[in-house]
Amino acid sequence: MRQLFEPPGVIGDNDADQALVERFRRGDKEAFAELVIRYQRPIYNAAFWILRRPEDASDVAQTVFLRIAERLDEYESQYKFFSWAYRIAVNEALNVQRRRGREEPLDEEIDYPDPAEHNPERKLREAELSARIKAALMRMSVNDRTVLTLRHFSELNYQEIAQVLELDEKTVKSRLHEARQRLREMLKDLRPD
Amino acid sequence: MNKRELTELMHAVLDGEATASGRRELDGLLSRDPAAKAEFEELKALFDGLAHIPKAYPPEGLVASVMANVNIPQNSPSGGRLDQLFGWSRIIGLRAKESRVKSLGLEQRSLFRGADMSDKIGGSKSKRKILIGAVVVGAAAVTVSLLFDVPPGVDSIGTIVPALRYRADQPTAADVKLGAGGTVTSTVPAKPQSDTSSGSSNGSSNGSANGSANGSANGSANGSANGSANGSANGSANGSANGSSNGSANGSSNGSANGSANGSANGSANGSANGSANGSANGSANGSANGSANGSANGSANGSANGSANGSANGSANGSANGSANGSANGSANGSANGSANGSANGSH
Repeated sequence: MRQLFEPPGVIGDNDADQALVERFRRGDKEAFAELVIRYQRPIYNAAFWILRRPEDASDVAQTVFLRIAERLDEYESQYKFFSWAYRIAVNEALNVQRRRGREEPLDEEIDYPDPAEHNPERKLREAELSARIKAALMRMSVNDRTVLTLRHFSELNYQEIAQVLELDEKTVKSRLHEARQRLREMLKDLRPD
Repeated sequence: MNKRELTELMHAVLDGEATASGRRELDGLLSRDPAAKAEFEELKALFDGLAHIPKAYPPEGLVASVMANVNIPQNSPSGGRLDQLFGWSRIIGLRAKESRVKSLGLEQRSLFRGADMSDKIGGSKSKRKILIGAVVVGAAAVTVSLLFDVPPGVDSIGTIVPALRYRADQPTAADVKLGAGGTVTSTVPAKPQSDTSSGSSNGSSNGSANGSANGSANGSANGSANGSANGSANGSANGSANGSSNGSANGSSNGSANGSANGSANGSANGSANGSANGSANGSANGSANGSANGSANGSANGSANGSANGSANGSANGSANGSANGSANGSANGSANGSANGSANGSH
């Protein structure tokens, strides 16, 4: 329940990130490998929920890390590294989405994460609920998916989402609120009797 | 508080963004308003459901794939070790990388971002090499012309002619003395052909071709091809190819390829490839690859790879790999790997 009533934690220890960034700037390739290991999952997840396809998410994640390496000189240390990295990731995923043009209808056989696969002990009801929420998310617009992903899967707070999307916090709150309202409408039967 | 403000407060509390007073205010409202309480419970269920959606797992090879392509910042002290420890095989890796980059619609990135290989790097040692090379080539040209010169007045029709495999631009009439009659164009010289020029020279033959020039020299032959130049030298042959130059030297051959230059040297062959340079040397071969340089040396081969350099040396091979350097050395192989250096050495089997 931590996630419900506490501010979402910062994914990475920013001081440790800064140290790794500095080491890589001095030519330590292992430092960059550590950054990749640290952020591969959140970056991949952000790309996955925006693009909805694992293979696209994988390609984007790889591109994002290469861009991070190339642009590290542009990174300013007063900002959190992961916010900067997320901005690159979200922009890259949205660019891929734009290049692809109109979003295609979802393939029913799409291979998104299976809760039973990694959490076998999870109750059937929770698994079903997750599956329904995922299905609803996949039908939402890319803008709704992006803001919901950053908040609920990447666990960024309003300020961090605002940095990533280059919006003000008020707009972020509004977008989140509206996206959740649409999600609620799609999941009407979740409402208690 | 109107309905929208109440809903926003619920979202803020569930997001963990509400102030302490906001949370207290909501608690009070929910205790007095069952409808608001129901809405809050519904929202909470939604948040709970979102929280329980498992995170997707990235593919296992993502880190390795990224590290195989990442470049160390150019201003870093060890920028020259670029693409070495995790470098793509120049034999099989390039295609895979290109296709991935293309699939993403990205601009093509240079595979190696090290020193500009085309820059001329001066060095008296290599100049001496060039001089020696030029003398050798010149002597060979004189010897060949003395021994095998076609006598004037003899019609070239009827000479024994091997099959014409390749024909480059021919020397002009002023450069080469040909027999009387205009039928020479239908034949290929039966003897080796030499060509020297201050501008450029090209030679092609079934036997051998030699070219030396201040500008460029190109040679191609079924047997062997040699080229030396201040500018560039290229040689390709089924047998062997040798090139030496102040600028760059490239050699490719089914048999062997050797290249030496002040700038860079590249050699690729099914048999063996050797490259030495003040700048960098790269060699790749199915058989063996050797590279030595003041700057860096890379060698990859199915058989064996050796690299030695003042800067860094890397070798990777299915058979064995050896690397030694003053700076750093890395070696990886399926069979065995050895690396020694004043700076650092890494070897993985």
